[in-house]
Amino acid sequence: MLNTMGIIFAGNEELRMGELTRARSLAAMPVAGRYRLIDFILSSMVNSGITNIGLTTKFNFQSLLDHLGGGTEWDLSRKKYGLFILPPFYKSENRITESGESKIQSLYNVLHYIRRGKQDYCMLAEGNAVINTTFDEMLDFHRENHSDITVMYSKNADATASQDGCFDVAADNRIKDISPNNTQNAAKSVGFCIIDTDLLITLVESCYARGEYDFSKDIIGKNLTKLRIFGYEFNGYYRHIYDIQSYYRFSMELLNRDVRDTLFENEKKIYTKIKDMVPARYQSNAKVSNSFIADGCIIDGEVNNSVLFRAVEVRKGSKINNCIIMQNGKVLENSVLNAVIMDKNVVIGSGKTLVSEPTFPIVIGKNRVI
Amino acid sequence: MAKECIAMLLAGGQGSRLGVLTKGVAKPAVQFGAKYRIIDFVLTNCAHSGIDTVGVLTQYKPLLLNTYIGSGKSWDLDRLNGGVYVLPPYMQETSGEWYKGTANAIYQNMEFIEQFDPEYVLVLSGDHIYKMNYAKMLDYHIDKNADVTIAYINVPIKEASRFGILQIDGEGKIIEFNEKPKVPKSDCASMGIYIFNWRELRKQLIRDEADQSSSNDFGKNVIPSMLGQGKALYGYGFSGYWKDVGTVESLYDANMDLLDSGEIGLYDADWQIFSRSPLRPPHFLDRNASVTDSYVTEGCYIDGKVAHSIISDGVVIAKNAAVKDSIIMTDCKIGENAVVNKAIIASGTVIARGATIGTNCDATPQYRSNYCTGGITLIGENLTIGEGVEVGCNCMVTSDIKEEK
Repeated sequence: MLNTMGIIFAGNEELRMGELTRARSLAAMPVAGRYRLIDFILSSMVNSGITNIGLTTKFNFQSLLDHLGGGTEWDLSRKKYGLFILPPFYKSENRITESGESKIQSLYNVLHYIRRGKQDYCMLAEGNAVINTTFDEMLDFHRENHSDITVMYSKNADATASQDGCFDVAADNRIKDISPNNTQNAAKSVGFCIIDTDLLITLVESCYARGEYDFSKDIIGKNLTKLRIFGYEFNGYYRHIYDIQSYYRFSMELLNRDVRDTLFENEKKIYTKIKDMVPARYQSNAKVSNSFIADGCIIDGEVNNSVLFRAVEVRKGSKINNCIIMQNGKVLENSVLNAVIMDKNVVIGSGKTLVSEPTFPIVIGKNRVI
Repeated sequence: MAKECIAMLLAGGQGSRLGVLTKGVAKPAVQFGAKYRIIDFVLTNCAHSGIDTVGVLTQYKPLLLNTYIGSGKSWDLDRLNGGVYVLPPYMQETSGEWYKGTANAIYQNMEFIEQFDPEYVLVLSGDHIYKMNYAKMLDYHIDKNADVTIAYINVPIKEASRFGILQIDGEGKIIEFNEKPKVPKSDCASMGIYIFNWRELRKQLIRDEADQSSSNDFGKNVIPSMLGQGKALYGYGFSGYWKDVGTVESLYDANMDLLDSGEIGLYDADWQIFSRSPLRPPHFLDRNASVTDSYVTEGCYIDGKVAHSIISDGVVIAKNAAVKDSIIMTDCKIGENAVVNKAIIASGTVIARGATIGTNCDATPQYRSNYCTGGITLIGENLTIGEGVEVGCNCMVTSDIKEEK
């Protein structure tokens, strides 16, 4: 897919993650023990052969920059194209819509970058989708249908729609309408679309000039008859991470072997930043089951149904159930935790009890000591 | 640009005493401690010591080593000026030959060294597990105004005859050097780590090469000869963890040291051991898993019992399987109800359901091997040990064993 450029929106939807996105953009959210959310879409694009990828950011993008660096680990540190991190560019006349800066504004801000690319197609994607796929077939579909815009959707009952909502898809795969119908079987937007680059530039310019900032309504919705807009169904595993519950639910799904295999035991690797860590160390009192454990952990307590990121320490006598513990988390002796999400560097002292229900996990912010 | 000091890492040895473990790879590429390879420790030392130019001299089965080292990025050795270079033997105009000995290997790469116009050359071998700051040794070398400085470590006197033994005066000057003496005169064992003044080394290498009777080895020829010529040779004492991993048993012991003493200090934040990551997801312990006193790394799936073992990436250990006191290398599969006891299983091998390794010690006398001592069983890479097969202790298996019908 050398003829396609990728644009990833790394910060357009993060209002519902509370404490977890206070210090980082949603795309930089740590997931699955050693990854960040952005790794999924970035790796999927790289594995599709897209080599020119721009990343629009909004705010709090420091951790995203730390993570991505020059893009080497995604094979995107290149002489020709590669990874471009596009910082926000605020102008006084920029209006902020109620839901924060929109995709259209982000695109308008990076039009210089889009124009510079020589690719005929542009793939737009949100940075908070969990997916491992390639887009070659979607591009074939786009070409065969002489489509102007092809949106990807999923009918998976457990998936939720991206901020673009749901679609009414006709038998010939044309999008008939933006659908308010967000039921289980609806065609839910995955938040990815392929669009002809020249058309994208024209649409963004005209929307921006009119102050129309809603991508779904103003670019898809208003052009359903004027343009050939098609829906492409994705049948595989896709999750949209948008709030604490969806993050927690996905993390717990990782305890399911099929989900892990689909995402990771695949020739299409999910790339991420490499940090050299000692292998995980189990000590003599360790009792660990049904858990996903990253390198660098030191475990001497009990851990069940949990995801432990790198270098987490669980001391003797502690019991961890249904928890997500991010990098460098420490649980000292004899503490009991159930349904807790610990952000990075959190320390739980000895003899503490933090118990909640998986339907409403407790979130402990970065660097806190309890 | 001239360099103060560059390193030449001798990584060509076959490591024949490691038996089937070095069937497909050179010794420095043998896996160690779940996610490392032996050579990681030396390359890590270079990186942390500020040595940014390293020539890796390969000869035996270099393919995996070449791929593993790659651009050197994993050890911060991908540099604009310098970096890591893999140096196999090559043809000259008139002839070409294999590296005859350690000194000859450096001799054949003098042109490589000249490119960097170094003041000093650090000669290293790729078969020890240790952490050492070579910058400190270089300071000592400069301070002593030495022609060559040899790092040594005090060893138990009864083991001393396995090493090159230095006798040192009160100033640190070497007064005698004996390669593997029958009756050692001291317990100062050469670690095979030398810092030479490059100009002096160059002269010595040319001289040694011209000597038809020399076996072109540093320990046997060059060092004793320099001592005879009255050159300034100094010993640099090292204390800390240092382990030769040249035999199956010593490799096994060094792995177990990680679990038992942790003396090497893997968790030292200022001296992280760098390695090339296989980029796999975290490992998963399923509902029936029980893992204690062990190291486990990425990509593993464990539903069985693991005690006091080292588990490399991508290993699968099925329900009711039991692994104890063992080293399981990359992508091995241990089937249901299989038992693995005090064994080293090389990468990609399948131990089928119900097979037992190292439990019934007297089993399979036909596989007993001199390579395997101390009750250790060694199974080669990419093999299949069939369902219910028993393999005894001190055995080395180099081909598939089919289940008994």
